[in-house]
Order: sequence, then C-alpha cells, then structure tokens
Amino acid sequence: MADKKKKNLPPEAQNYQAFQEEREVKRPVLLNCIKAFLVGGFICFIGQLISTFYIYYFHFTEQTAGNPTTATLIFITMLLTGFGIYDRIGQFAGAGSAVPVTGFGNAVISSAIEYKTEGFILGVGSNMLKLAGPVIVYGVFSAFLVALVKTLLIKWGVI
Amino acid sequence: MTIKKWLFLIGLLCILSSCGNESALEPSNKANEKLDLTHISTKNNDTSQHPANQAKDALSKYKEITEVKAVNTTKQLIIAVQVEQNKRFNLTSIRKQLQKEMKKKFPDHKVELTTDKKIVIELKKLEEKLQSESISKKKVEKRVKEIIKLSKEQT
Repeated sequence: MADKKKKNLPPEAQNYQAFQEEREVKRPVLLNCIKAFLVGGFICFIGQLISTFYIYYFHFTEQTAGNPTTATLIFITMLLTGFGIYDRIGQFAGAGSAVPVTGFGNAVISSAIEYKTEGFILGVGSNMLKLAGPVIVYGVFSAFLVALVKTLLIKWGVI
Repeated sequence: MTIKKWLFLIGLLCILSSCGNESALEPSNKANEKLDLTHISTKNNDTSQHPANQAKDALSKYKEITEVKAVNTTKQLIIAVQVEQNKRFNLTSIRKQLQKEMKKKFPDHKVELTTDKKIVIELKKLEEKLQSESISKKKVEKRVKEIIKLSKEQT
C-alpha cells in the first residue's frame, strides 16, 4: 500500500523520502522487545508472588486467588501512577508495562487524574474509561470469537 | 521480510503445538524415591487412613509427581498432587487421567483429585492432625467436606 501511495507523489517528494529514510534513526526493535519481555515478566513475577501469598495466608485456591491478585496489582499501579513512577516504567518498557493488567489500571487512573479539572461528573466520570473502554469492548469481542471457534471445534470433535 | 515473518510464525506454531500433543503421564516400574510418602497410621480404627495410603503408593509410580497428600473418611477420599513444573502445560489432561485411575481403584469411595496448591497445604495440616491423633472422626469428616467444597470453588 505504501508503494502505491509513493507512485502518486511528485519526484522531489520521492527523492526526499529516500533521503529521509536513509538518515532516519532506526528503531531498536530487538532491544525494545527484550526490555518489554523483562519488565513485563517482572510484573508477572510480582503477580505470582501476590497470588502465592493469598493462597498461603488466606482462604483462596489457585482458581480463586486470581481476582484479589488482579485487584492488588491494580491498586499498586494506582499508587505508582499517582506518584508519576509508572510513566517512567512505561517509557522504558513500552508494551511490557501496557499488556499486563497494570497497563489497564494505568489507562483508567491516568485519565481520571487528567480530567479532574473538568469536574467529577463530566470530567472524571465520563473520561475515565476513554482509553480503557476499547480494551473492554475488544476484549469481550475477541473472547467471543475464541469461544465460538472452541465451541465449533468441540462440536466437530477436533478437540 | 515476509519470508522471515512466515518462518517465525511457523516456528511459533510448531513450539505451541508440540506443547499440546505430548501424551499425559506414563507410569514407571520403580517408585518415585524423591516423593515424601508419609503413611498415616492411626490407632483408632474409625479414622483409618488405609485407602489414602494406598492411593499414595499408587501415585508414587509416576515420576512427574512431586508431592502427594491424601486423606479419606469412610465415604470420601480426597487426593491432592503437585506436578513437575514443565509438565504443567498438560495439567488438565494429567488431572483427568489420574482422576479416572483413582476412581477405578477406589469404587467404594467418592474420589476427588485436585492439583491445587491450596488443597495440598490444607491436607498437609489435616494429615499432621491425624498423625498426632488430636482430631475426632466427626471433625475429620467435617474438615474433608470443607476441603472438597473449597476445591470445587470457581471464580
């Protein structure tokens, strides 16, 4: 698609694009992946610790310990976002800090902080889920699709 | 670039599918020596743990099992196992296989088999109490009922 668009451009613009592509600083994709992997893994490690803590000291099984663990992680993210630490983690790790549930918490809480000046109803209330809303919508939608595929596969006797 | 992408995708699929196709546990002839098989001996016949001990012996032939705890009442038998970390990819099929085997082995009992860490901890506590004879039959039955209820809890 990009090549098609290029053909319609005047020659100077094409020259400029080639010139610019040559000099552009390349994104360190591999390094970013490694950073995201390590930080994301570390967040999950903390989650595992919290989950194990709930299993040992409270009345939760491996099945049911997931809910309080998520809540605790989001609570920790709330504090970190409020103190401005999570922004830096996000800048360093990228997707590593956005994909775990902490990223979802950060998206909700940071927009709540951002829109506080516009009042509690029309500001915080209506904008809090601005970024997290799509997460819920497409999360539910993709879960529906996966469940559909699984149901069909089971019906056909594949799994 | 596209070839690389395809190769990457195919490689990923191979890795993922190889995790799923592995057959569940195979029994070996030798008993697993690393396993801690404390046979609970109670002088009181009411709280006899003979079936639980039998279940432990039967499970000890799987070398992938790292921990096994079991307690029984006259009607119920609850077993909790821990599986080696890299075998946990097939946890569901392992649980099903063992559950089936244990149900066949103890037709007189209502058998519950779980791989949950919490149940292992709870059964360990109960086993210690049984060993020290500080618990009555009624209390054991009540506790086992509670643990079975806990193991069935869903989110």
